[in-house]
Amino acid sequence: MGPLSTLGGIVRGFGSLLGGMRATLIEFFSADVTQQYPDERWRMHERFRGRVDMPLDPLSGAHKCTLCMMCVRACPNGSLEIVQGKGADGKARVLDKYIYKLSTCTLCEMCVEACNFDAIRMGHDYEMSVYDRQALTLILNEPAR
Amino acid sequence: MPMNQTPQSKDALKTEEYWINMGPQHPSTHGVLRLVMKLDGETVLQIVPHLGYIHRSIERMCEWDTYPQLIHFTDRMDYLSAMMTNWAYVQSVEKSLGVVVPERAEYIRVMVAELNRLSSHTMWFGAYCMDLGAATAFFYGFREREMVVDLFEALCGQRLTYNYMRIGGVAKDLTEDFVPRVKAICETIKRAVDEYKALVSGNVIFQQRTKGIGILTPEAAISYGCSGPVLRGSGVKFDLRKDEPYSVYPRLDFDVPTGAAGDCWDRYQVRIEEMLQSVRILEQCINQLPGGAVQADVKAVRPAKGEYYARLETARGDMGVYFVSQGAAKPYRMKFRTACFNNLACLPEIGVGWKVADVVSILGSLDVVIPDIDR
Amino acid sequence: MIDSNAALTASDLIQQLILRPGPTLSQVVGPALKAYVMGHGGFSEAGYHALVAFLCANAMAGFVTVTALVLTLAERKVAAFFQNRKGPNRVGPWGLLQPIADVLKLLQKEDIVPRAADKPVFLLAPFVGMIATYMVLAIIPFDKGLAVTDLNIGVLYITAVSGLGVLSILMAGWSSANKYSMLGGLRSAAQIVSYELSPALVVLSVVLFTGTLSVQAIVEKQGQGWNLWAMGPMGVVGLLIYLVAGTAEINRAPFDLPEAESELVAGYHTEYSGMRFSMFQLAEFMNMFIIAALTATLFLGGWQPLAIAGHRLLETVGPDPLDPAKTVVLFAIPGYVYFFVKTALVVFVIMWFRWTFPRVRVDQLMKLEWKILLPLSFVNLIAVALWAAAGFGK
Repeated sequence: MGPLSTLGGIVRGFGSLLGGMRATLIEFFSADVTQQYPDERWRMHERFRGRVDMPLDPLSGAHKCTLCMMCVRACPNGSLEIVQGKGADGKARVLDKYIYKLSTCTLCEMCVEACNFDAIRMGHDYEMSVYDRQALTLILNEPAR
Repeated sequence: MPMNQTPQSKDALKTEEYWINMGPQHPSTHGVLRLVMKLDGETVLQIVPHLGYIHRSIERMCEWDTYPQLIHFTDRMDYLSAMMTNWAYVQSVEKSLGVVVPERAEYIRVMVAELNRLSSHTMWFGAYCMDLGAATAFFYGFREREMVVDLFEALCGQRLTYNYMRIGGVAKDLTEDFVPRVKAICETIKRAVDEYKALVSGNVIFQQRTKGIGILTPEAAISYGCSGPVLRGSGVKFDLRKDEPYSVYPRLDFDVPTGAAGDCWDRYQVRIEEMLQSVRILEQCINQLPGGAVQADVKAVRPAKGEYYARLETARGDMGVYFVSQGAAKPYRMKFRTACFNNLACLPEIGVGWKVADVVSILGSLDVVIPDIDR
Repeated sequence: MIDSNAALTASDLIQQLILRPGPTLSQVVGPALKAYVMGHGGFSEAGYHALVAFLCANAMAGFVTVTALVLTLAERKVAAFFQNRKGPNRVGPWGLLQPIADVLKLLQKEDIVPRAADKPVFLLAPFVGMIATYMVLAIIPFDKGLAVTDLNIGVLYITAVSGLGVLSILMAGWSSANKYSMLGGLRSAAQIVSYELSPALVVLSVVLFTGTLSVQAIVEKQGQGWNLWAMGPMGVVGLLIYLVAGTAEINRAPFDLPEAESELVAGYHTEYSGMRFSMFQLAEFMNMFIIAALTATLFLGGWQPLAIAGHRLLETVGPDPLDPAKTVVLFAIPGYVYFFVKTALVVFVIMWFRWTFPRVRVDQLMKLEWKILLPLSFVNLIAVALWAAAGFGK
C-alpha cells in the first residue's frame, strides 16, 4: 500500500466521518418526540389492554356478570376469583365479590374473550404501581375505584 | 501483561492469565448473561457462558395450561419477535389438529410477522450501535421501532407481549388505519436505512470495529445449529420462509440476503438488508390482502395422541415448537427450540483470540435475547 | 483622557460622550486599588502585583469552574437535541438550575475510600488533575489585556503543563487497589501521552508561522487573517489534527476507552464517589473548554474579529469624534464575545463528535496516532516551514 493510497484511504475515511456528522446535524434541528409525562398523557388506543375493569352503572352500580365462571376458567394463572352471594330471595346467584389479583395478571385478555356478556373489559389504566401489595387485589364490582 | 520478570532468564517474561466476569448485570449483554472469560492482557483465551439467570420454567408451566391459554407464555421468550413466536406455537397446534386457517388470517399473520421483524431489527441496530459507543443511533433505531410498536398497540392492545395469534387465526381483525400506517412505515424504513448507512455503516470507525471480527465459518455455523442472520452472514443461504415455506410465503417475492465472510459486518449487513426485504413483503401483502374471516372455527383443542413439531423463521432464526400430547386438553410436554440458544453456542469459538472490546461487538452481532435462551 | 492606542469599545465611547469625560473604569480601578493596598495595607510594589495576580488567578479559576458546570448542562441538552428529545427542562427554565441540583446531589453522597487504597495518593489524585487544568488557563487570552498573565514562552508552557494531567490519572488508577482501575488508568495514560505529540507538532507549526511563542502575540498577529486561512491548507489540516488529537487527549468519545471500559474493565475513577468523582468530571469538562479555547486561540483568531487577508469585518474605523485628526476604531464587538463564540462553536463540535461516532478500539487508537496523525503533523510542519519561507506569512 503506497503512501498515496494510504492518504486516499485517510481522506475517504475522514469523508465518511463527515457524512455521519451531517446525519446527526440534520437530526439536531428536527423536532423532538418527547412527551412531557405526567403533564401530557396520551389517550390510549381503543384496544389497549390495561388492567381488567368491570363497567358499572354509575347510579345503581349494576353490572352484567352472570357468574358463569368462564373468565375464571379461562385465566391461565388464576388471577380471577368469583365469590357468590345470596340473592334477595335466597336462591338467586348474585355476585358478592369479583376478586381480581393484579399481582398475577399478565394482561393477556383471555378473560375478556371468554366472557359472553360483556361484563368485563380491558380498561385503559396502566399506572398501577402501589405502595402496599394488598392494594393489588381489587374487588371489581365495588364502585370505590 | 507482564507481572514480573524472573532474574534467572532475562529473556523470559512471566505473564499471568486471569479470569474475569462479564455480567450478569451488564450494559452490553442484552439481558442477564454471565460470560466468564480468561484473559491474557487484552486478549481473550476462553469464554464460558453461564445461563439460567432468567429461567422461569416456561416449558413446565405450559403443562398446566390448556393449549389456548398458553399462547401468552410464548410472548415472553423471545420478546422482540413475540408475534413470530406466537405463530410458531399456534402453527404446531394447528398442524396437530389439521385446522385450515382462513386466507385473510394468513396474510395478517405474515404482515404482523414482517412488521415484528422490522421492529426487532431496528431495536437490534440501536442496541448494537450503543454497545459500540454510538449512543445516538440507539434513539434513531427506536424512533422507527416506535412506529411499528404503536401500530401493534392499536391492533392488539399491547406493545411487546402481543398474545395476538389464536389457534386457527388471529385474535382481532385489522383496524381501519392499519394499511395506511403500514404504508407509512414502509416509506420511513426505506429512508431510515439510508440514514443508518450514512451514520453507521459508512463510518470508518464502525467498519474497523466490525469488519473481519468474529469470523464464523459456514461449517462451524451449521455444526452449531446456528440459524437466522448468524447463519446467513456466514454465506449459507438458508431461510425457512424459502426453504420450508409456510403460510402464504410461496406467493410472495423476496430475496434472502447472505454475507460473504461471516464477520460482524456481514451479520450487520444481512439484517439491514432483511429490513428492506420485509418492506417488500409488506407492500405485496397490502396489495394481496383478501377479505374474510380472521379466525377459523375451532371447537375443542385436544390434539390426538402423538408428537408434533413446527418451525418458522423468527427475527433471530429458526424457532421450533415440539409438543407431546396424550389426548388431553393440556400438553404432556412442551419444548421450544429457540434460535438464540444455538446462536450463543458459537460464541466460545468465535470470540477467542479477540480483544475484550471485540467480544462486546461479536455478542451484539449475534443478537441474542437471553430470555429466549433460558426460557 | 483617551488612550488613543487602545481600541475603544462601545461602552467606553458612550461613557466618554454621554456620561462624563474622564478616565474609563479600567483606568480607575487599577491605580485606586494600588493606592489603597500600598497606602493603607502597607504592601510593597511586588506585594501589590502578587495580590493582583492572586485575584486574577482566582477569578479565572472560579469563572472557568462555573463554565464547566454550565457545560455539563450544555452537554446534556446538546445530546438530547441530537437524539430527538428535550434535555433537562424541569429544574428551572430550560433546565438552567440542573447543574446546581447535580452539585447538591453529589455533595451529600457518602465519601468512600477503599480500605486497601493508598490513602494520600488516592485523596490527592483528583486535585492534581484540577491543578494541571487550572495552570493552562493562566495564559489563555480572553481579550486584549484580559488574561491572567502573558508569558513570552506561552506555548512551551502549555505543552509542558498539559502533561501533568497524566499524573492524576495514574495516581487514581494505581491507588484504587483495584486491578481493573489500574489497567484502565494505565491504558488511559498511554492514550494521553501518545496524543500529546501531534498537537505539540501542530502548535509548533503555528509558532513557526507566527515567529513567537507568546500566545498573546499569536492572537495579535491573527488580526490581519486567522491562521486557519493565513497558513493556507496547512491551517485546515492543522486545525483538524489538533481537534482530533485534543479530543483524544481529554478522553472524550470516540476515544473514551477509559470511560467505556467500565463495560468490562473499570475506569480509573471507579472507586471515587461523591465530590471527588465530580472533581474528575469537572476536570474533564474544563479540559474540553481548554482544548476548545486553545483551538480558537491558535487557529481561529482568539479574540480577534473575523479577518481575512488584511480585511477585518464587523469593525468600523473612522475619525475620532473628539479629535477629528485621529483615526480610531469607532465600533467593534468586544473581543471576549468573539472568544466565547468561537470557543462555544468548538465545544459544540467536540460534543458533536461524541454523539455521532462509535468508540475506537485501543489498538486502533494507537494506530491512529502513531501511524496517521504523527506523520501527518510532521508533513504539516515541513509544509508550513516552506510556506513561511516563501513569504506568505508576512
